[in-house]
Amino acid sequence: MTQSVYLKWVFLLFIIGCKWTYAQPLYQTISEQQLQDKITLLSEHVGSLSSLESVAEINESISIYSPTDQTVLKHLFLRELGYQEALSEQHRLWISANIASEDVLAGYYSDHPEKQIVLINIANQARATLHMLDIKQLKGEVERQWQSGEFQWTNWLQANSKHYQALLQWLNQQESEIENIKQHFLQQYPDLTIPNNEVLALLINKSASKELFAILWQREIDEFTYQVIHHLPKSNDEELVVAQLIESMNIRQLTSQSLLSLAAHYPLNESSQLAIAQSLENPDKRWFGLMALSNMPAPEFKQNLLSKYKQQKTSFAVSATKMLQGQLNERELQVEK
Amino acid sequence: MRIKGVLLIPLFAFSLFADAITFTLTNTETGPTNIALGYQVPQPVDSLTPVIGFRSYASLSQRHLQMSLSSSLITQIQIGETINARPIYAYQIGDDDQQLVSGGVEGAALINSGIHAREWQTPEATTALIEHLFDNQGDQHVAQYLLENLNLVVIPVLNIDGFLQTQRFASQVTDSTQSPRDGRMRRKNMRDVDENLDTLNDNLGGIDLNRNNNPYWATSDRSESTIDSIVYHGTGPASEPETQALQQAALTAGEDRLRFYIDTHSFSQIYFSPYTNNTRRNDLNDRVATIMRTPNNFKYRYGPSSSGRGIGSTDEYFANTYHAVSYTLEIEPLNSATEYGGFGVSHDGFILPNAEVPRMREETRKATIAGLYTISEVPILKSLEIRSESDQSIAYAANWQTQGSARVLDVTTLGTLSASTRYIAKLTFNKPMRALENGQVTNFGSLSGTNGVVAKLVGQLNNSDIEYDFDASQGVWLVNQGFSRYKADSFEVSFTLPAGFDWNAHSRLALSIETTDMVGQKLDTNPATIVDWQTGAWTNYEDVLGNPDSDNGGASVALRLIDDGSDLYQPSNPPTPPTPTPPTPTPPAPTPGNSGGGGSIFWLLLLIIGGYSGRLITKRPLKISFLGV
Repeated sequence: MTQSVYLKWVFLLFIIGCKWTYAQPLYQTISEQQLQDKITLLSEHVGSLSSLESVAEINESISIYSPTDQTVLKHLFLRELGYQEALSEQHRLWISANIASEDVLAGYYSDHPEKQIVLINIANQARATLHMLDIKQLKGEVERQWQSGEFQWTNWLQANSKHYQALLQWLNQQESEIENIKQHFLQQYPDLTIPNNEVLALLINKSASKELFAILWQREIDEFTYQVIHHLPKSNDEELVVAQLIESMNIRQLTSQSLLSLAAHYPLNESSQLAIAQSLENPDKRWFGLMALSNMPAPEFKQNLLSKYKQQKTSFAVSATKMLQGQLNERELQVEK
Repeated sequence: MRIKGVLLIPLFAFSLFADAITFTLTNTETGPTNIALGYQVPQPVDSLTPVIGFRSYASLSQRHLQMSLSSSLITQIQIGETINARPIYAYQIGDDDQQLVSGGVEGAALINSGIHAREWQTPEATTALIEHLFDNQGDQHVAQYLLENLNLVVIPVLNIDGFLQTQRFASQVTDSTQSPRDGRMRRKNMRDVDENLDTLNDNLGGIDLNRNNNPYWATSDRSESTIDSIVYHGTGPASEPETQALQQAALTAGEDRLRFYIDTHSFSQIYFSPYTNNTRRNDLNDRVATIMRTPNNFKYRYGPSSSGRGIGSTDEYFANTYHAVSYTLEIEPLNSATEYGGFGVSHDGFILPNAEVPRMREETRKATIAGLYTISEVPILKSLEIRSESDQSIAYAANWQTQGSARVLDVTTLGTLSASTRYIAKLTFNKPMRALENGQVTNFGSLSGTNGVVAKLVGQLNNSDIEYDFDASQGVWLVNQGFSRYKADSFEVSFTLPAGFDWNAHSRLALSIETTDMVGQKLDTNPATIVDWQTGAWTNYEDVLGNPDSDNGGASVALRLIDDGSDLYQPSNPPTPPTPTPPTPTPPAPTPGNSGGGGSIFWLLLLIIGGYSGRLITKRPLKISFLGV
């Protein structure tokens, strides 16, 4: 190879190397200790960024740091901005610009075969920060509309929207107004299309009523339906809760959950006991009823069932006898102790 | 301090508080001690039946018990106790005869889950498998087939203490000077750890049960000897009662029968697998991985690792101790919960949104069923019945009968076939050979189609080879009626022998069948020798040349209507040169920091030049995460 060819190669590699060095987005590995040191050091500088009035100033202020420090600083500043109730236009612009960032900081992570875990992803964080700030802003608008009497449910119920998220956050914070809000919802419900059961679940959580449950049981089951039943025993209105758990037992997907809840939380309630006993007579529910008895501190009720099953020869009765006998024996042992 | 508290929240993997703080996981609510995920934070609910989300340990456990009480095919067996003395149960699933319906001895499979506490996907996935077999025990298809032909043992939750800790604090994680490791993000067992999040000194404690195993215990830098490490390997191999329970489960499954193992984890959507020095086992390991990836369109990746080294994981233990095909299944997501619209907070991959859980259950269930189906048994042609289409009279019928450790062909009707007569041949196999959807035969990825049968009569006529082709493309797999034991275990095809066909002029006449089972495994060419599994490979699974060690099978010509007593694998006249079977391609082992030898000078130059540039050269590691292992 002649010297000139060699030099050409070196020059080419230099150009490629420079391009690679400067143009690639930051994807750097850092140790826990390094990160700790950087955060401790850079936290002090976050406050000064807040006072800057333009995107250019912010970027310029950040640019004096090393690439890794820039990423950490951006991360810290994004977090700080996330806690603001309102944003200046320049701050919003700065966050928006960072949605296109490819800066990622990975940590050593021994759980990981390649020993990397993404610790900081500026684009994700910028997106999340804006999203949450938008929700905060919209939540303020819900409150304003409610106070001024302009509030209409239908404006806030778009599926997967920030509006819906804002509504839910607002609802979650309501205490004194909740009865009025519920009545308002019930009045408008016939004309509403709600995206999922989350809004119902929140209202029920805050102020359970037969009307709300009636709506819920008629709707398609989703993750929030299960959460409603999960939280029902927290209510002080035992009569209402037991009645609704019995009602939900008739919905196939909810049968087991409702039975377990009745047995665990309302073992001595007459209606609850009757429902559980009836479930034991139903071929589709009896195994769920039987398993629910394990959590049911009601020895007399169980003793009666045991006497009944002892006289039967079916495989279910044999299993029930064995289970009930075991539970009653265990209880006796505990009492003796 | 306030600023620190606020700003460090998202770093819940590497948070830096001197004093531990309990953070609350939220949907979108921000706050100094909140971590917003961008979706509803799952809470475990008590329900025996599947929910849209996750079930509590108590109700999962009751569900397992209920299924075992109400089905004779599911048996609860205590295999040990946790460090906090909670009973660990395995569920033995299948009939109790230990025999294949077609003869021979059943194989065994072991599936473990819940070894890492925070990986909530896993008990749901394995419970879904048990529920599927329970709900479909009489389906006359794959579920029933597995129950009758495999000894399956499932451990739904191994690390019960840890799992309960994560469910006790479903929305909370504690931080410390190192990592978010207690509450919802606990991974290890609870040795020397209390259940209180506020007592800080033990939050990092516990042993990583997936680093506590031979043969590679404490042999790599991917496990550590400091108690606070998230991959602390313990004081010795199998030092933990949970690890011992898992090993006990192998005895329950039958050590000499064990051929399949999955340890279920999350997340990163991949089948990891250790290679061993047993190349046949490795090849089968690759094949079964491909089969399990097929039902979900290869959404899951495959990552075998080199033999001779390891990290102390359970899949290494079962691969090396029992020569089982062995996997660490990392359930979805691939990288993070951004795949479901979440914010992508570090570690959120461990928190699958509720709405994704039913689909995840179904996908992992389908994949695992495919793997179990594969290793239960290779396909054989069990019987042939030829009847006249016009009057349904049986002209010929024979089936392979098990006698001791072999099979013999039992010809129950020996008639003759005539020229120009329309016959129906009914071929019956030992397993359901095709996938079904809504009761109809469907393809299983590219591994089997709706037909996929080549059938003909082959033989010798006047010392010359002769073939009579069937038009098998017009044949059908029987799924509504007429099948033998399982839907799609029988195939019917019409044929007519040509004018001039003379039965008596043939010195040999055999049925030649070329097909595969549902997952693409070819027929055992000699059903007389019963296939088994030994030391990580099939035995007596002969290919077209009679080679029992190729693990490939082939077209079967063992069923002879007219038998001249000649050797099954004797070359015909003229002998046909054997077609070599292409070797199974070996997937490249992932090599972290992959560096090709030819590029080293380039990189050296680049580093030098980069150094001259005076700027930091940032390294871009492989952007895939394998978190749960």
